[in-house]
Amino acid sequence: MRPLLLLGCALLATGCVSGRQLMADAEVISTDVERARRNGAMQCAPVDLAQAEAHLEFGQGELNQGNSGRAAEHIELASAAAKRALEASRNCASKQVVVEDGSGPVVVKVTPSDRDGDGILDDVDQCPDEPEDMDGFQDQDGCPDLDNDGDGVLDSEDRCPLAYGPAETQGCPAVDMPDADGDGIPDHLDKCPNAAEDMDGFEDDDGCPDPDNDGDGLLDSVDKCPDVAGPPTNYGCPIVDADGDGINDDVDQCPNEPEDMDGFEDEDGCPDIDNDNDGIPDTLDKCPNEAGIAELQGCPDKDSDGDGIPDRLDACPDQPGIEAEKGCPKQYATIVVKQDKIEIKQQINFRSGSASITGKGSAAVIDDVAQAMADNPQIRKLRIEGHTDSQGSASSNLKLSQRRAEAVMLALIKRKVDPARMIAIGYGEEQPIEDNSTAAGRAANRRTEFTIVE
Amino acid sequence: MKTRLLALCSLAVGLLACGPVQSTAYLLDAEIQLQAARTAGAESLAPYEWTSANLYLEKAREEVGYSDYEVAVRFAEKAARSAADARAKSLAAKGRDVTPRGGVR
Repeated sequence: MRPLLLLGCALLATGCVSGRQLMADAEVISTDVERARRNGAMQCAPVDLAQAEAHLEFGQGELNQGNSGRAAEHIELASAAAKRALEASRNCASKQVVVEDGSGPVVVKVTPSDRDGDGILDDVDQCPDEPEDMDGFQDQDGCPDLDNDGDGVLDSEDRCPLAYGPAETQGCPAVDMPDADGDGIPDHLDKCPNAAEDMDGFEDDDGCPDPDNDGDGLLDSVDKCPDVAGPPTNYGCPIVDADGDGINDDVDQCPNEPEDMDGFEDEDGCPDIDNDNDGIPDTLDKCPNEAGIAELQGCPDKDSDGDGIPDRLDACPDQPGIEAEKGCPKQYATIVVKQDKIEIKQQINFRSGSASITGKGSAAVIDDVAQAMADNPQIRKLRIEGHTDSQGSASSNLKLSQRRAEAVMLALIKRKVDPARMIAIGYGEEQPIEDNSTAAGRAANRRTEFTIVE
Repeated sequence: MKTRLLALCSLAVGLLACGPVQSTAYLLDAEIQLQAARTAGAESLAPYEWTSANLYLEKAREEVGYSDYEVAVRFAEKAARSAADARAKSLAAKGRDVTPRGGVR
Protein backbone atom coordinates (compact mmCIF):
# COMPACT_ATOMS: atom_id res chain seq x y z
CA MET A 1 0.00 0.00 0.00
CA ARG A 2 2.77 2.45 1.03
CA PRO A 3 4.90 2.01 -2.15
CA LEU A 4 1.81 2.65 -4.24
CA LEU A 5 1.09 5.85 -2.33
CA LEU A 6 4.69 7.01 -2.78
CA LEU A 7 4.56 6.22 -6.50
CA GLY A 8 1.32 8.19 -6.81
CA CYS A 9 2.85 11.19 -5.04
CA ALA A 10 5.97 11.02 -7.25
CA LEU A 11 3.86 10.91 -10.40
CA LEU A 12 1.77 13.85 -9.19
CA ALA A 13 4.92 15.86 -8.42
CA THR A 14 6.42 15.09 -11.84
CA GLY A 15 3.17 16.23 -13.49
CA CYS A 16 3.19 19.53 -11.59
CA VAL A 17 6.82 20.24 -12.40
CA SER A 18 6.39 19.44 -16.07
CA GLY A 19 3.21 21.54 -16.23
CA ARG A 20 5.00 24.49 -14.64
CA GLN A 21 7.94 24.08 -17.00
CA LEU A 22 5.57 24.05 -19.98
CA MET A 23 3.87 27.19 -18.74
CA ALA A 24 7.28 28.87 -18.45
CA ASP A 25 8.18 27.68 -21.96
CA ALA A 26 4.88 29.07 -23.24
CA GLU A 27 5.71 32.45 -21.71
CA VAL A 28 9.08 32.51 -23.49
CA ILE A 29 7.50 31.52 -26.81
CA SER A 30 4.84 34.17 -26.36
CA THR A 31 7.61 36.79 -26.03
CA ASP A 32 9.39 35.42 -29.12
CA VAL A 33 6.15 35.53 -31.11
CA GLU A 34 5.57 39.11 -30.04
CA ARG A 35 9.12 40.07 -31.05
CA ALA A 36 8.78 38.32 -34.41
CA ARG A 37 5.50 40.13 -35.02
CA ARG A 38 7.12 43.47 -34.16
CA ASN A 39 10.00 42.66 -36.51
CA GLY A 40 7.51 42.23 -39.34
CA ALA A 41 7.15 38.44 -39.40
CA MET A 42 3.61 38.95 -40.72
CA GLN A 43 5.30 39.94 -43.97
CA CYS A 44 8.52 37.95 -43.85
CA ALA A 45 7.45 34.70 -42.22
CA PRO A 46 3.64 34.57 -42.20
CA VAL A 47 3.43 30.77 -42.21
CA ASP A 48 5.86 30.34 -39.33
CA LEU A 49 4.18 33.14 -37.38
CA ALA A 50 0.74 31.55 -37.86
CA GLN A 51 2.08 28.15 -36.81
CA ALA A 52 3.76 29.60 -33.73
CA GLU A 53 0.64 31.47 -32.63
CA ALA A 54 -1.78 28.61 -33.26
CA HIS A 55 0.33 25.93 -31.58
CA LEU A 56 0.99 28.23 -28.65
CA GLU A 57 -2.76 28.72 -28.23
CA PHE A 58 -3.36 24.96 -28.52
CA GLY A 59 -0.59 24.23 -26.02
CA GLN A 60 -1.94 26.70 -23.49
CA GLY A 61 -5.47 25.32 -23.96
CA GLU A 62 -4.28 21.77 -23.35
CA LEU A 63 -2.34 22.92 -20.28
CA ASN A 64 -5.47 24.54 -18.87
CA GLN A 65 -7.28 21.24 -19.36
CA GLY A 66 -4.44 19.38 -17.62
CA ASN A 67 -3.27 17.49 -20.71
CA SER A 68 0.49 17.90 -20.28
CA GLY A 69 1.37 15.35 -22.95
CA ARG A 70 -0.61 17.02 -25.72
CA ALA A 71 0.43 20.46 -24.47
CA ALA A 72 4.11 19.48 -24.72
CA GLU A 73 3.71 18.50 -28.39
CA HIS A 74 2.11 21.84 -29.26
CA ILE A 75 4.59 23.86 -27.20
CA GLU A 76 7.47 22.11 -29.01
CA LEU A 77 5.97 22.90 -32.42
CA ALA A 78 5.25 26.50 -31.35
CA SER A 79 8.82 26.93 -30.13
CA ALA A 80 10.34 25.72 -33.40
CA ALA A 81 7.99 27.89 -35.49
CA ALA A 82 8.62 30.97 -33.32
CA LYS A 83 12.38 30.52 -33.74
CA ARG A 84 11.98 30.26 -37.52
CA ALA A 85 9.76 33.34 -37.57
CA LEU A 86 12.27 35.30 -35.49
CA GLU A 87 15.16 34.22 -37.70
CA ALA A 88 13.30 35.03 -40.91
CA SER A 89 12.11 38.40 -39.64
CA ARG A 90 15.55 39.56 -38.51
CA ASN A 91 16.01 41.65 -41.62
CA CYS A 92 12.51 42.82 -42.23
CA ALA A 93 12.14 45.32 -39.41
CA SER A 94 11.76 48.94 -40.51
CA LYS A 95 15.03 50.59 -41.44
CA GLN A 96 16.01 54.21 -40.88
CA VAL A 97 17.00 56.52 -43.69
CA VAL A 98 17.72 60.22 -43.86
CA VAL A 99 15.58 62.29 -46.18
CA GLU A 100 15.58 65.96 -46.91
CA ASP A 101 12.44 67.96 -46.38
CA GLY A 102 11.99 71.71 -46.39
CA SER A 103 13.34 72.17 -42.86
CA GLY A 104 16.45 70.00 -43.33
CA PRO A 105 17.42 66.34 -43.04
CA VAL A 106 15.14 64.11 -40.94
CA VAL A 107 15.24 60.41 -40.09
CA VAL A 108 12.31 58.33 -41.36
CA LYS A 109 11.53 54.63 -41.05
CA VAL A 110 11.16 52.51 -44.17
CA THR A 111 9.25 49.22 -44.12
CA PRO A 112 10.26 46.57 -46.68
CA SER A 113 7.67 45.85 -49.35
CA ASP A 114 6.11 42.65 -50.63
CA ARG A 115 4.17 43.62 -53.75
CA ASP A 116 2.74 40.20 -54.55
CA GLY A 117 1.92 39.48 -50.88
CA ASP A 118 3.43 36.00 -50.88
CA GLY A 119 5.38 36.58 -47.67
CA ILE A 120 8.72 36.83 -49.50
CA LEU A 121 10.04 40.39 -49.42
CA ASP A 122 10.68 42.06 -52.76
CA ASP A 123 14.42 42.40 -52.18
CA VAL A 124 14.83 38.62 -52.12
CA ASP A 125 11.81 37.70 -54.22
CA GLN A 126 13.00 36.64 -57.67
CA CYS A 127 9.47 37.27 -58.97
CA PRO A 128 8.22 40.23 -56.91
CA ASP A 129 5.02 40.61 -58.94
CA GLU A 130 4.04 36.94 -59.11
CA PRO A 131 3.09 35.23 -55.86
CA GLU A 132 4.94 32.01 -55.01
CA ASP A 133 2.53 29.06 -55.26
CA MET A 134 3.65 27.60 -51.90
CA ASP A 135 3.18 24.04 -53.01
CA GLY A 136 6.15 22.71 -51.06
CA PHE A 137 8.45 22.82 -54.10
CA GLN A 138 11.15 25.49 -54.22
CA ASP A 139 8.98 27.91 -52.27
CA GLN A 140 11.85 30.15 -51.11
CA ASP A 141 12.61 31.86 -54.44
CA GLY A 142 9.29 33.69 -54.62
CA CYS A 143 8.50 32.38 -58.13
CA PRO A 144 5.55 30.10 -58.82
CA ASP A 145 6.55 26.70 -60.22
CA LEU A 146 3.79 25.69 -62.56
CA ASP A 147 5.43 22.42 -63.58
CA ASN A 148 7.48 21.16 -60.65
CA ASP A 149 8.84 18.02 -62.27
CA GLY A 150 9.45 19.68 -65.63
CA ASP A 151 7.64 16.96 -67.54
CA GLY A 152 5.62 19.40 -69.62
CA VAL A 153 2.39 18.64 -67.78
CA LEU A 154 1.25 21.58 -65.66
CA ASP A 155 0.98 20.81 -61.95
CA SER A 156 -2.72 21.66 -61.99
CA GLU A 157 -3.24 18.77 -64.43
CA ASP A 158 -0.37 16.59 -63.24
CA ARG A 159 -1.42 13.69 -61.06
CA CYS A 160 2.23 13.25 -60.07
CA PRO A 161 3.55 16.85 -59.91
CA LEU A 162 6.85 15.78 -58.38
CA ALA A 163 7.50 12.77 -60.64
CA TYR A 164 8.46 13.01 -64.27
CA GLY A 165 5.83 11.47 -66.51
CA PRO A 166 4.29 12.00 -69.95
CA ALA A 167 0.93 13.63 -70.64
CA GLU A 168 -0.52 10.25 -71.67
CA THR A 169 -0.29 9.08 -68.07
CA GLN A 170 -1.44 12.46 -66.69
CA GLY A 171 2.10 13.35 -65.68
CA CYS A 172 2.84 10.16 -63.76
CA PRO A 173 5.75 7.89 -64.63
CA ALA A 174 4.75 5.42 -67.38
CA VAL A 175 4.58 2.03 -65.83
CA ASP A 176 5.10 0.14 -69.04
CA MET A 177 8.35 1.99 -69.88
CA PRO A 178 11.42 0.35 -68.38
CA ASP A 179 12.98 2.37 -65.54
CA ALA A 180 15.70 0.24 -63.99
CA ASP A 181 16.63 2.71 -61.23
CA GLY A 182 13.03 3.64 -60.48
CA ASP A 183 13.68 7.39 -60.52
CA GLY A 184 10.65 8.12 -62.70
CA ILE A 185 12.74 8.83 -65.80
CA PRO A 186 12.35 6.02 -68.36
CA ASP A 187 15.60 4.30 -69.25
CA HIS A 188 15.57 5.55 -72.84
CA LEU A 189 15.68 9.15 -71.53
CA ASP A 190 17.88 8.38 -68.54
CA LYS A 191 21.61 9.04 -68.95
CA CYS A 192 22.28 6.99 -65.84
CA PRO A 193 19.67 4.24 -66.05
CA ASN A 194 21.16 2.35 -63.14
CA ALA A 195 21.64 5.29 -60.77
CA ALA A 196 18.51 7.05 -59.52
CA GLU A 197 18.29 10.79 -60.12
CA ASP A 198 18.30 12.61 -56.75
CA MET A 199 15.56 15.05 -57.77
CA ASP A 200 16.98 17.96 -55.81
CA GLY A 201 16.07 20.63 -58.31
CA PHE A 202 19.50 20.61 -59.94
CA GLU A 203 19.78 19.04 -63.42
CA ASP A 204 17.05 16.57 -62.62
CA ASP A 205 16.11 15.86 -66.23
CA ASP A 206 19.22 13.86 -67.14
CA GLY A 207 18.49 11.01 -64.76
CA CYS A 208 21.92 11.15 -63.14
CA PRO A 209 22.26 11.91 -59.44
CA ASP A 210 24.29 14.97 -58.53
CA PRO A 211 25.60 14.37 -55.01
CA ASP A 212 27.60 17.61 -55.05
CA ASN A 213 25.75 20.11 -57.23
CA ASP A 214 28.21 22.96 -56.86
CA GLY A 215 31.29 20.72 -56.98
CA ASP A 216 32.81 22.33 -53.91
CA GLY A 217 33.76 18.98 -52.44
CA LEU A 218 31.05 19.05 -49.80
CA LEU A 219 28.17 16.62 -50.37
CA ASP A 220 24.77 18.29 -50.82
CA SER A 221 23.41 16.51 -47.76
CA VAL A 222 25.74 18.55 -45.52
CA ASP A 223 26.16 21.58 -47.79
CA LYS A 224 24.17 24.58 -46.60
CA CYS A 225 24.49 26.13 -50.06
CA PRO A 226 24.38 23.07 -52.33
CA ASP A 227 24.13 25.10 -55.53
CA VAL A 228 26.83 27.68 -54.77
CA ALA A 229 30.43 26.66 -54.13
CA GLY A 230 31.89 27.55 -50.76
CA PRO A 231 34.59 26.35 -48.36
CA PRO A 232 33.77 23.62 -45.82
CA THR A 233 34.65 26.07 -43.03
CA ASN A 234 31.59 28.08 -44.05
CA TYR A 235 29.37 24.98 -44.39
CA GLY A 236 29.76 25.00 -48.15
CA CYS A 237 28.49 28.56 -48.56
CA PRO A 238 30.59 31.27 -50.17
CA ILE A 239 32.04 33.80 -47.78
CA VAL A 240 30.41 36.96 -48.99
CA ASP A 241 30.42 40.50 -47.68
CA ALA A 242 28.15 42.20 -50.18
CA ASP A 243 28.27 45.63 -48.57
CA GLY A 244 32.02 45.45 -47.85
CA ASP A 245 31.70 46.55 -44.25
CA GLY A 246 33.97 43.82 -42.94
CA ILE A 247 31.08 41.79 -41.52
CA ASN A 248 30.35 38.66 -43.54
CA ASP A 249 26.82 38.26 -44.81
CA ASP A 250 26.15 35.15 -42.74
CA VAL A 251 26.27 37.25 -39.56
CA ASP A 252 25.42 40.63 -41.11
CA GLN A 253 21.84 41.57 -40.29
CA CYS A 254 21.89 44.14 -43.09
CA PRO A 255 24.04 42.46 -45.76
CA ASN A 256 23.33 45.16 -48.33
CA GLU A 257 23.91 48.20 -46.14
CA PRO A 258 27.42 48.86 -44.80
CA GLU A 259 27.74 49.25 -41.03
CA ASP A 260 28.68 52.83 -40.14
CA MET A 261 31.31 51.77 -37.58
CA ASP A 262 30.71 54.68 -35.26
CA GLY A 263 31.27 52.69 -32.08
CA PHE A 264 27.55 52.18 -31.55
CA GLU A 265 26.19 48.64 -32.10
CA ASP A 266 28.77 47.99 -34.82
CA GLU A 267 28.56 44.20 -34.53
CA ASP A 268 25.17 43.73 -36.18
CA GLY A 269 26.23 45.00 -39.60
CA CYS A 270 23.42 47.54 -39.80
CA PRO A 271 24.19 51.26 -40.03
CA ASP A 272 22.77 53.29 -37.17
CA ILE A 273 22.29 56.68 -38.67
CA ASP A 274 20.56 57.99 -35.59
CA ASN A 275 22.09 56.23 -32.58
CA ASP A 276 20.02 57.98 -29.96
CA ASN A 277 16.77 57.88 -31.96
CA ASP A 278 16.11 61.56 -31.43
CA GLY A 279 15.26 62.14 -35.08
CA ILE A 280 18.46 64.08 -35.78
CA PRO A 281 20.94 62.17 -37.96
CA ASP A 282 24.28 61.42 -36.29
CA THR A 283 26.11 63.49 -38.89
CA LEU A 284 24.33 66.61 -37.61
CA ASP A 285 23.97 65.50 -34.01
CA LYS A 286 26.47 67.05 -31.61
CA CYS A 287 25.50 64.45 -29.01
CA PRO A 288 24.85 61.37 -31.19
CA ASN A 289 24.50 58.98 -28.25
CA GLU A 290 22.24 61.13 -26.09
CA ALA A 291 18.70 61.96 -27.19
CA GLY A 292 18.33 65.67 -27.61
CA ILE A 293 16.47 68.46 -29.37
CA ALA A 294 16.99 70.23 -32.67
CA GLU A 295 17.52 73.63 -30.99
CA LEU A 296 20.62 72.22 -29.26
CA GLN A 297 21.89 70.34 -32.36
CA GLY A 298 20.75 67.02 -30.91
CA CYS A 299 22.08 67.51 -27.40
CA PRO A 300 19.85 66.91 -24.38
CA ASP A 301 17.92 69.75 -22.83
CA LYS A 302 19.80 69.81 -19.50
CA ASP A 303 18.60 71.29 -16.24
CA SER A 304 21.75 71.42 -14.08
CA ASP A 305 20.16 72.97 -11.01
CA GLY A 306 17.02 70.83 -11.22
CA ASP A 307 14.66 73.77 -10.88
CA GLY A 308 12.52 72.64 -13.81
CA ILE A 309 13.84 75.40 -16.09
CA PRO A 310 16.20 74.02 -18.77
CA ASP A 311 19.71 75.50 -18.82
CA ARG A 312 19.17 77.13 -22.21
CA LEU A 313 16.36 79.24 -20.72
CA ASP A 314 17.88 79.57 -17.25
CA ALA A 315 19.70 82.84 -16.51
CA CYS A 316 21.19 81.15 -13.42
CA PRO A 317 21.71 77.53 -14.56
CA ASP A 318 23.66 76.56 -11.43
CA GLN A 319 21.26 78.04 -8.90
CA PRO A 320 17.72 76.77 -8.43
CA GLY A 321 15.33 79.53 -9.25
CA ILE A 322 11.83 80.38 -10.33
CA GLU A 323 10.28 81.06 -13.69
CA ALA A 324 9.38 84.67 -12.85
CA GLU A 325 13.10 85.42 -12.27
CA LYS A 326 14.15 83.53 -15.48
CA GLY A 327 15.51 80.63 -13.45
CA CYS A 328 17.33 82.77 -10.90
CA PRO A 329 16.57 82.61 -7.19
CA LYS A 330 13.80 84.82 -5.93
CA GLN A 331 15.06 87.96 -4.21
CA TYR A 332 14.19 88.19 -0.52
CA ALA A 333 14.78 91.14 1.84
CA THR A 334 16.67 89.26 4.52
CA ILE A 335 17.95 86.04 2.92
CA VAL A 336 19.62 84.64 -0.22
CA VAL A 337 18.86 81.12 -1.47
CA LYS A 338 22.04 79.42 -2.63
CA GLN A 339 22.78 75.93 -3.97
CA ASP A 340 23.74 74.50 -0.56
CA LYS A 341 22.32 76.91 2.00
CA ILE A 342 19.91 79.70 2.77
CA GLU A 343 22.10 82.59 3.74
CA ILE A 344 20.64 85.08 6.20
CA LYS A 345 21.64 88.73 6.03
CA GLN A 346 20.92 89.40 9.70
CA GLN A 347 20.97 87.12 12.71
CA ILE A 348 17.97 85.75 14.56
CA ASN A 349 18.08 87.09 18.10
CA PHE A 350 17.16 85.26 21.33
CA ARG A 351 16.70 86.42 24.90
CA SER A 352 19.93 85.99 26.84
CA GLY A 353 20.32 82.39 28.04
CA SER A 354 16.91 81.50 26.59
CA ALA A 355 15.43 80.00 23.40
CA SER A 356 12.83 82.74 23.09
CA ILE A 357 13.09 84.57 19.73
CA THR A 358 13.03 88.35 19.99
CA GLY A 359 12.86 91.31 17.67
CA LYS A 360 11.01 92.19 14.47
CA GLY A 361 14.17 91.57 12.46
CA SER A 362 14.21 87.93 13.62
CA ALA A 363 10.58 87.49 12.60
CA ALA A 364 11.34 88.98 9.16
CA VAL A 365 14.17 86.48 8.62
CA ILE A 366 11.97 83.55 9.64
CA ASP A 367 9.16 84.85 7.38
CA ASP A 368 11.55 84.94 4.42
CA VAL A 369 12.95 81.45 5.15
CA ALA A 370 9.37 80.11 5.28
CA GLN A 371 8.57 81.83 1.99
CA ALA A 372 11.78 80.44 0.40
CA MET A 373 10.78 76.92 1.45
CA ALA A 374 7.38 77.44 -0.19
CA ASP A 375 8.99 78.85 -3.37
CA ASN A 376 11.57 76.04 -3.66
CA PRO A 377 9.86 72.67 -3.33
CA GLN A 378 13.05 71.02 -4.63
CA ILE A 379 14.56 71.68 -1.17
CA ARG A 380 13.66 68.42 0.52
CA LYS A 381 15.66 68.73 3.73
CA LEU A 382 16.80 71.89 5.51
CA ARG A 383 19.08 71.64 8.54
CA ILE A 384 18.54 74.41 11.10
CA GLU A 385 21.77 74.77 13.02
CA GLY A 386 22.18 76.49 16.35
CA HIS A 387 25.66 77.75 17.43
CA THR A 388 26.87 79.57 20.56
CA ASP A 389 30.03 81.31 21.72
CA SER A 390 32.34 79.71 24.29
CA GLN A 391 31.07 81.53 27.34
CA GLY A 392 29.55 79.20 29.95
CA SER A 393 29.90 75.42 30.09
CA ALA A 394 30.09 73.41 26.89
CA SER A 395 27.17 71.16 27.89
CA SER A 396 24.84 74.04 28.75
CA ASN A 397 25.82 75.74 25.46
CA LEU A 398 25.04 72.55 23.57
CA LYS A 399 21.59 72.27 25.19
CA LEU A 400 20.86 75.97 24.61
CA SER A 401 21.84 75.79 20.92
CA GLN A 402 19.61 72.72 20.47
CA ARG A 403 16.64 74.50 22.08
CA ARG A 404 17.23 77.58 19.92
CA ALA A 405 17.42 75.55 16.72
CA GLU A 406 14.18 73.80 17.72
CA ALA A 407 12.57 77.18 18.49
CA VAL A 408 13.37 78.38 14.95
CA MET A 409 12.02 75.12 13.51
CA LEU A 410 8.81 75.56 15.52
CA ALA A 411 8.49 79.12 14.22
CA LEU A 412 8.80 77.81 10.65
CA ILE A 413 6.23 75.05 11.30
CA LYS A 414 3.85 77.78 12.48
CA ARG A 415 4.43 79.42 9.10
CA LYS A 416 3.22 76.21 7.37
CA VAL A 417 6.57 74.65 6.49
CA ASP A 418 6.32 70.85 6.43
CA PRO A 419 8.18 69.48 9.52
CA ALA A 420 9.34 66.51 7.42
CA ARG A 421 11.48 68.93 5.36
CA MET A 422 13.44 70.19 8.38
CA ILE A 423 15.79 68.98 11.07
CA ALA A 424 17.05 71.03 14.04
CA ILE A 425 20.55 70.44 15.41
CA GLY A 426 22.40 72.34 18.14
CA TYR A 427 26.19 72.34 17.88
CA GLY A 428 26.95 74.40 20.98
CA GLU A 429 30.38 76.02 20.85
CA GLU A 430 31.93 73.26 18.70
CA GLN A 431 31.99 75.15 15.38
CA PRO A 432 33.15 78.75 15.91
CA ILE A 433 33.69 80.93 12.85
CA GLU A 434 35.48 83.76 14.67
CA ASP A 435 37.80 84.18 17.64
CA ASN A 436 35.92 83.70 20.92
CA SER A 437 38.38 85.93 22.85
CA THR A 438 36.90 89.15 21.42
CA ALA A 439 33.41 90.52 21.84
CA ALA A 440 32.96 90.86 18.06
CA GLY A 441 34.12 87.30 17.50
CA ARG A 442 31.75 85.94 20.14
CA ALA A 443 28.85 87.88 18.61
CA ALA A 444 29.62 86.32 15.22
CA ASN A 445 29.78 82.84 16.73
CA ARG A 446 26.31 83.18 18.25
CA ARG A 447 24.37 82.37 15.16
CA THR A 448 21.69 80.34 13.37
CA GLU A 449 22.46 78.75 10.00
CA PHE A 450 20.26 77.08 7.44
CA THR A 451 21.99 74.31 5.39
CA ILE A 452 20.28 72.61 2.44
CA VAL A 453 20.93 68.88 2.98
CA GLU A 454 18.85 67.47 0.11
CA MET B 1 -44.63 4.28 -16.83
CA LYS B 2 -43.07 2.59 -19.86
CA THR B 3 -43.99 5.52 -22.09
CA ARG B 4 -42.40 8.01 -19.67
CA LEU B 5 -39.21 5.99 -19.51
CA LEU B 6 -39.08 5.84 -23.30
CA ALA B 7 -39.55 9.60 -23.59
CA LEU B 8 -36.82 10.21 -21.00
CA CYS B 9 -34.42 7.90 -22.84
CA SER B 10 -35.17 9.62 -26.16
CA LEU B 11 -34.48 13.02 -24.60
CA ALA B 12 -31.19 11.81 -23.12
CA VAL B 13 -30.06 10.30 -26.43
CA GLY B 14 -31.09 13.50 -28.20
CA LEU B 15 -29.08 15.68 -25.82
CA LEU B 16 -26.01 13.44 -26.01
CA ALA B 17 -26.10 13.47 -29.80
CA CYS B 18 -26.39 17.25 -29.90
CA GLY B 19 -22.63 17.86 -29.44
CA PRO B 20 -21.41 15.70 -32.35
CA VAL B 21 -24.10 17.00 -34.70
CA GLN B 22 -23.43 20.62 -33.89
CA SER B 23 -19.64 20.29 -34.12
CA THR B 24 -19.96 18.47 -37.45
CA ALA B 25 -21.97 21.39 -38.82
CA TYR B 26 -19.32 23.86 -37.71
CA LEU B 27 -16.55 21.69 -39.17
CA LEU B 28 -18.42 21.51 -42.46
CA ASP B 29 -18.81 25.28 -42.47
CA ALA B 30 -15.08 25.78 -41.88
CA GLU B 31 -14.23 23.31 -44.66
CA ILE B 32 -16.41 25.22 -47.10
CA GLN B 33 -14.82 28.52 -46.14
CA LEU B 34 -11.37 26.96 -46.60
CA GLN B 35 -12.31 25.63 -50.00
CA ALA B 36 -13.48 29.11 -50.98
CA ALA B 37 -10.23 30.61 -49.70
CA ARG B 38 -8.21 28.08 -51.70
CA THR B 39 -10.13 28.98 -54.84
CA ALA B 40 -9.28 32.64 -54.24
CA GLY B 41 -5.58 31.75 -54.10
CA ALA B 42 -5.19 32.23 -50.35
CA GLU B 43 -2.31 29.74 -50.18
CA SER B 44 -0.03 32.28 -51.79
CA LEU B 45 -1.90 35.56 -51.33
CA ALA B 46 -2.81 35.26 -47.65
CA PRO B 47 -0.39 32.69 -46.23
CA TYR B 48 -0.80 33.78 -42.60
CA GLU B 49 -4.58 33.49 -42.53
CA TRP B 50 -4.52 30.35 -44.70
CA THR B 51 -2.09 28.56 -42.36
CA SER B 52 -4.07 29.63 -39.27
CA ALA B 53 -7.33 28.39 -40.79
CA ASN B 54 -5.84 24.98 -41.62
CA LEU B 55 -4.29 24.56 -38.18
CA TYR B 56 -7.51 25.51 -36.40
CA LEU B 57 -9.54 23.11 -38.53
CA GLU B 58 -7.06 20.30 -37.89
CA LYS B 59 -7.22 20.97 -34.14
CA ALA B 60 -11.02 21.10 -34.24
CA ARG B 61 -11.08 17.65 -35.86
CA GLU B 62 -8.64 16.39 -33.23
CA GLU B 63 -10.89 17.68 -30.43
CA VAL B 64 -13.88 15.90 -31.96
CA GLY B 65 -11.77 12.75 -31.72
CA TYR B 66 -11.41 13.39 -27.98
CA SER B 67 -15.21 14.03 -27.78
CA ASP B 68 -14.46 17.55 -26.60
CA TYR B 69 -17.18 19.10 -28.75
CA GLU B 70 -17.27 22.52 -27.12
CA VAL B 71 -13.58 23.14 -27.83
CA ALA B 72 -13.99 21.63 -31.30
CA VAL B 73 -16.76 24.12 -32.12
CA ARG B 74 -14.61 27.00 -30.88
CA PHE B 75 -11.68 26.01 -33.09
CA ALA B 76 -13.94 25.29 -36.05
CA GLU B 77 -15.39 28.80 -35.74
CA LYS B 78 -11.88 30.25 -35.64
CA ALA B 79 -10.93 28.20 -38.67
CA ALA B 80 -13.95 29.53 -40.55
CA ARG B 81 -13.15 33.10 -39.57
CA SER B 82 -9.49 32.80 -40.60
CA ALA B 83 -10.48 31.19 -43.88
CA ALA B 84 -12.95 33.99 -44.58
CA ASP B 85 -10.22 36.55 -43.80
CA ALA B 86 -7.82 34.67 -46.09
CA ARG B 87 -10.34 34.72 -48.91
CA ALA B 88 -11.14 38.41 -48.45
CA LYS B 89 -7.44 39.30 -48.37
CA SER B 90 -6.73 37.24 -51.48
CA LEU B 91 -9.59 38.77 -53.42
CA ALA B 92 -8.56 42.23 -52.30
CA ALA B 93 -5.03 41.50 -53.52
CA LYS B 94 -6.41 40.45 -56.85
CA GLY B 95 -8.58 43.55 -56.93
CA ARG B 96 -11.79 41.60 -57.29
CA ASP B 97 -15.18 41.89 -55.63
CA VAL B 98 -15.38 40.38 -52.14
CA THR B 99 -18.64 38.55 -51.60
CA PRO B 100 -18.65 36.15 -48.66
CA ARG B 101 -19.94 32.72 -49.45
CA GLY B 102 -22.72 31.29 -47.31
CA GLY B 103 -21.87 28.48 -44.94
CA VAL B 104 -23.79 25.59 -43.48
CA ARG B 105 -25.05 26.12 -40.00
